[in-house]
Amino acid sequence: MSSQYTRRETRDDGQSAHNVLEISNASVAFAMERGDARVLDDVSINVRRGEVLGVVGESGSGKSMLADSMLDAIDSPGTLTGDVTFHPPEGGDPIAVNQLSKEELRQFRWERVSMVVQGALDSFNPTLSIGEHFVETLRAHDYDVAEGMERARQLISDVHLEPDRILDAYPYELSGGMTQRALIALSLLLDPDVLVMDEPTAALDLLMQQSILKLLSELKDEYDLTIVIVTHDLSHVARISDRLAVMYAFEILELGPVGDIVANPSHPYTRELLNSIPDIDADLDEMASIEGTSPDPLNVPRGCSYHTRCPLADEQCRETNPDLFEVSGDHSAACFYTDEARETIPLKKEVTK
Amino acid sequence: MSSRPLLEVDDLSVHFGGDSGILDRFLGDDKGVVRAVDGVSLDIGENDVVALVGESGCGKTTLGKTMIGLQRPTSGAVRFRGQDIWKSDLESGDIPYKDIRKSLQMVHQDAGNSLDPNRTIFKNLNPALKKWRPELNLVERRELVHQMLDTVGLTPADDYASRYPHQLSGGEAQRTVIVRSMLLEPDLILADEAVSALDVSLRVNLMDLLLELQEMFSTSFVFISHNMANARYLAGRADGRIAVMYLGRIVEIGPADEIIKNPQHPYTKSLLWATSGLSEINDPIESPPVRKIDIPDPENPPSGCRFHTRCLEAREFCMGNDPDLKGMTGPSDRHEAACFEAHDRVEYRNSEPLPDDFDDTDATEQPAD
Repeated sequence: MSSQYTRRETRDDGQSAHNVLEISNASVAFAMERGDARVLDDVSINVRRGEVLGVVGESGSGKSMLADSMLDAIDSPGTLTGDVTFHPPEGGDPIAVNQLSKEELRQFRWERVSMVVQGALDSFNPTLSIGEHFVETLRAHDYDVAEGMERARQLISDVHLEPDRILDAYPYELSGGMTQRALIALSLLLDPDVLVMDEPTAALDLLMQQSILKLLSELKDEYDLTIVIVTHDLSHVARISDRLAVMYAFEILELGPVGDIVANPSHPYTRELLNSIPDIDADLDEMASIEGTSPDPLNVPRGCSYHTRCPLADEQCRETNPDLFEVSGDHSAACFYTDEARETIPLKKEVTK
Repeated sequence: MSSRPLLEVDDLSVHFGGDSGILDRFLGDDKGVVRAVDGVSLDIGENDVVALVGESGCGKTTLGKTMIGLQRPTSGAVRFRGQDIWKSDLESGDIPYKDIRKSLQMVHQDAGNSLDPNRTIFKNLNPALKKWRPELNLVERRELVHQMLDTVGLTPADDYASRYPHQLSGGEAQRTVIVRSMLLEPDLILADEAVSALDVSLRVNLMDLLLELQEMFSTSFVFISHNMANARYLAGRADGRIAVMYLGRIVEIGPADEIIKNPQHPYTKSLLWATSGLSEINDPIESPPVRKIDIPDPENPPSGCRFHTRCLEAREFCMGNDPDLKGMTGPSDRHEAACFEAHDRVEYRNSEPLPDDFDDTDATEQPAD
């Protein structure tokens, strides 16, 4: 028996004044020999001003595509459809990001939305010193270099690096953790409103990862940032996030405040994912992986994309793909059976909200 | 009954670089030398599990590779069942080198790349069997491969055996590589970050598989990991130990539970700080419990205790004195730490704490207050 009557479809809450980015019906497709690969499938999500939004998903869930869409940075031959709208925090007309010209987009990135990706070393030109990267960026955007370099020095000390040494250094002379922090400083150079980070710490040691997360929470307050962090590691990003979006098979399956997602996950996938995380506090006997594998982008099952692995799947799930339904307040999940999920898949570790 | 360990690592050092000429050596100038492993002793028993953890560059992979004979030590020895593995061909041969080689196997981090992309899975696995198990004919080899593929859950085995590596998922490739190392029935397997490339939701499964195989074949395992949660899972379930490495040394070693619940070395504590459990989800992240978040230059490690430049407990005594790895008095006699504070040394207690703004010469960063 479905309890669908209690649910309303989550719609836009009409608070666009609070949203800095609105993504609606975004899809990304790649034409491949074997057919069209949809690597982002009709995703709608609003990024609220001043929040840290964690986007969590396994490899091939489409999480990086969602991040790239926020800057209209999908690599050719991929094509982005749908709308990405940026609302300037100081007021003014919304910007339709995916309709900007090449030149407008060039300015939009860095000044409005900045991106930090995994493997910072690849983001730097090996023949330029770190300092030259800062100068180049300022010049390319017609900023005053002397003034900008003052800010650069401040940002570099904010990320616990020594400006004199770092500005003169070449990328290969720095450790992975230092390069990643230098890249974070560079991304904040033109005072962007939003920082989008794709696995910003994945290649680093745990101590450095956690230190960088701590750093980000400080930078966010100091520079009034909105941060979107994309990661495969839920437990890692949860502590600095306000909301989490859980992605699977190129869609968002669950979205809500971190406390709700962790204490009261409502999608079977989120529940099983939480049970599968090797957790330092959990009982050793209580962890288990999710059976099966995530779908191939060329062959996403019809109906709910998780039904092939879901213990609750029935005829309805095999036929109809559920929208995000409101579970409570700000928390929504794309599942017909969220109540049943709680009974069928008990959490192995209860977390209090 | 044999009380002799399977593998004894005895005061082992591995140094790299420093292509100094004889004159430099004469003048004692060893600048540019990285002491990747510096005076490590460790015994691995039969059917034993040890997880080596530490940050990149701490020497855990070098130690592991030297333990299984893939890297020649600069000094010290690795003994397999009592015999130095680098002298096996020379001395009155108890165990020939060939046998030692076969007994010590490795599973690499990037499984996909350690398979030949142009050969089917069976043809990837066959050569090692052919070389090391010459008594088996093709049919027997095929049967053994299928049996092992079955054991690790790659079913139907004959289907998987005829696939090419690119037709496997990351988890399946990792299982294949594990099969390849198990086929030789080794006594010890070194698994270098064998699960860290996998998605979080698949890790427990693969770790369970490794533990099952460990039990099934009574193989000893050395797991290398930078992740405390994984190390605890592997070592904890097998009743094994965790060894924490820092700049070429083991700074703490003990039963998995002891290390996680009762860490003694400040460095171990900082690694645990970096490992958030889900139960802490509502707490803001505290400041890192270290003076500096960056590791010192391994070419120029700090004097005294190598951790003193980052350690919040460091006192002046730690700058000039290098603590030994010593047993803790406590519930477990197998728990050892190399820290004056943990052992409450009198000289440590009587010396001045390092000032908050303490900075050594090669320091590059200061932590936030």
